[in-house]
Amino acid sequence: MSEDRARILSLIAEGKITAEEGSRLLDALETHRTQAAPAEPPARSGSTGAPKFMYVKVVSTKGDNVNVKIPLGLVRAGLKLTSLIPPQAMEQINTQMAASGMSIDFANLKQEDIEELIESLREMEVNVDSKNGDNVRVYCA
Amino acid sequence: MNAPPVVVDVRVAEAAGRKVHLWLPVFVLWPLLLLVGGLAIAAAVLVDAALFAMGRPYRFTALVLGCFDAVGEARGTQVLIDSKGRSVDVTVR
Repeated sequence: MSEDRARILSLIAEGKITAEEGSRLLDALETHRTQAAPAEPPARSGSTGAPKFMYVKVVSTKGDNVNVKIPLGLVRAGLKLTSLIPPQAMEQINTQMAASGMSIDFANLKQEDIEELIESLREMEVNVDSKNGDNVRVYCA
Repeated sequence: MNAPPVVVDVRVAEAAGRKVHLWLPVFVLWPLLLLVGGLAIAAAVLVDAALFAMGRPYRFTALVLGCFDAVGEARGTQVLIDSKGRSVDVTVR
């Protein structure tokens, strides 16, 4: 663990900074740390065009951070595949999902619905701050 | 439809200073993928034809092509895991 990261985490543990402030500091540290970090998306308020990637960022106070960058084309291809699943298998899937509390019928998912869903993901952002200071952020750009 | 991934780049860096860089040439699997894909598409076409003859058309061919489309769209996926003392970066190019 780098010295800067350890210092930030100790400040959080001592309560001198909040988890949100620590998360921002760790994010700023990450963008300068390695060349291989995922590229930051352009400013979202001025972005044009369909989103291309889904970003999942997890910042943990224990020092375990995860950054995942997924092409939205993969999500789109996966959604298209669900509409091609055989009817018998789809019935079983829908039954299992309904039992889990998710009543989504993928068989009725049309191409235009998928494109509209991908386009609307541009405005989606999920930001979760847990009690122990962990932060999870999911967004598309 | 995009081409399948060409390379998987794996970088591991440890706090002790040791770094490992693996460059996995996935493109060497393309001939095998072509063979398997060809067989799968041929089988899917036969099944679709049989189902159509029975009056129950189904798109198994589209399903197989969709699977290949999904594999091609995996290019650009990047996973960066930073844990205590170790950083792992996996990029699919």
